[in-house]
Amino acid sequence: MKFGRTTRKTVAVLALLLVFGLLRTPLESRMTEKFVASGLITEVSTSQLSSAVGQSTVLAVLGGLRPLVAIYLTLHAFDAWSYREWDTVERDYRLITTLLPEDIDSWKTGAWHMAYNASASALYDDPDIPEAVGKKNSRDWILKGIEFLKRGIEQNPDSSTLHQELADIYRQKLEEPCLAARHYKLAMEGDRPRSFVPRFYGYFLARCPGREREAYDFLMELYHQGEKQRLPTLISRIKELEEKLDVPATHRIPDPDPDVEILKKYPHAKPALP
Amino acid sequence: MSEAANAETEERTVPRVPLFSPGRIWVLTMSTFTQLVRMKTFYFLIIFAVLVAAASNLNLLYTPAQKLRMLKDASFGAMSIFSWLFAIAATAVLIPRDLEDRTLYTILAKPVPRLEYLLGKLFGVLLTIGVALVVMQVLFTGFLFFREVTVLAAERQALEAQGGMSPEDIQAQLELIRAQGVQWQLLYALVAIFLKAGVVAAVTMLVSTFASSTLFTMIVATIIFLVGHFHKLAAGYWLHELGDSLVAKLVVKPVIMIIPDFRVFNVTENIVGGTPVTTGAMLALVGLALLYMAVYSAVALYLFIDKEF
Repeated sequence: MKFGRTTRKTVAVLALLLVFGLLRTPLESRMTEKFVASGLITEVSTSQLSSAVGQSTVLAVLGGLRPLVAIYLTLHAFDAWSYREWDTVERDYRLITTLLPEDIDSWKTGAWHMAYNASASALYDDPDIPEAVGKKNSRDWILKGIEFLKRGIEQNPDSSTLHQELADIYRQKLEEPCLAARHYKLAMEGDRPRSFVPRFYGYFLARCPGREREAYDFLMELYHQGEKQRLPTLISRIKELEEKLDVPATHRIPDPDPDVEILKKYPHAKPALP
Repeated sequence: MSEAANAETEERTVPRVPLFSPGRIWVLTMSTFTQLVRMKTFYFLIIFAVLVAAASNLNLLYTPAQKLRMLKDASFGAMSIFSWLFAIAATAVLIPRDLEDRTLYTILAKPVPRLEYLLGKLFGVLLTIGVALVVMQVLFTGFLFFREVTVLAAERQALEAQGGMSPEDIQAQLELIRAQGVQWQLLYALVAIFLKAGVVAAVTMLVSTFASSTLFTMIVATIIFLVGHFHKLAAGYWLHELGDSLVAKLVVKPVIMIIPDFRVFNVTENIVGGTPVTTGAMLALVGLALLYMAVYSAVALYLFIDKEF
């Protein structure tokens, strides 16, 4: 008799929960879709994660502890950095950015480790490695940093910070003025451009072969914006372009060349260019 | 005096017991809260304070915004773990404890409907979680505010000393750091954690009404909680593999329907990260959590109403 009642109750409970499930599932799916679209929920690729970390970590990520796992990986990367284990640093930052794709600072820090720290380490840390091999390894790390930032830009296309970081790497590490100018321009058009970014766009466009006229027009536009923009480098770069483009004397800017002024004042000084 | 008059007098002297009384529920809620406090629940707050202090003193060579974010992530992660773990453990313990202490017999012997008993227990657990979360939030906000002020002052000094940056650039940089500091929006994250814990407590109470032991309740509730975070992902894979087979129809689909989907409550992670949240989205989340709690409490009552002790 009691068994019959228990069975009846169990079936009834399962049926109730099933009906509730049928009613709530469409509502829940709509809510989840809206939350994903508005960026409130991040869908993490578990297949990408499970190959790199253990099942329990994947479970923690799915269980709402994604930021805690990212903190652990950040600490782990910090530790690896102090021992110059660059492969571990790279792996950790790839995982961190998989977990927190919207965290601009993580993309920036990961790229900085690869393009600056690991590349310098490849060049100088091991004296036994032949110079040519060291240079090749160093360049590989720079390219890894660039590829990493490009993935970050794919996820956050409007980020001025990431475009500016990429432009800085092209400028400082690869000496590619055209690519640097391209990304400074994208940084200008992004969400939070710094005030110096337009000037940098002009400076490196001026270094890009065949685009001097465009650079001159742009820098002159900045020059006409007022005293605030008339910094020594801007004046110096305009003067260079005036010479290169053979601008008539009547159209040239009246300011003295800052480099010449400095050299007059300090004959042994080297002109500082960005 | 006639018999009719006697009956009338008796009716007047014995107070009529209301079928449903919020007052009785409140008494049960408060007694549950006291019971849980006596179990030294709030000692967890000491561990939390140590964790937040440690996280706020973590001076890794990262950006100031990252330092603040790390403090927020660690604190909200700890709050989240505490709330669901507590919701399972406390709710699983309550009914067996009342049975062991014989309090249950005393309560149910009085004119207290079983619905009120269950609601009193559930609300007691929720009140304890709520109070603990508020205390943790106050503690965390204090640490975050102090850290934000320190980090902003250091960053302003460094940027001014560095030179070459306009006041607008410095302001923009400081705004980016402030975005990771104390914000009203963090309260929404706290509410989301509380709602998730509420649903977990309601599920655990449902399990405890038919469970044979506290351990069984804890294990089953934990499994439901964990499975509830990935069953839809796994089901997507299985349904793709099995197609429209009988196994899919009889096993996979019903499991998805029966087990609650906790993923939707994971909004906490991104709210803490700075993603803006609308009041409408929060109200939808509150509505869903209340629906879960109401249905699971009703099913728990159905199992508990004629249970013999």
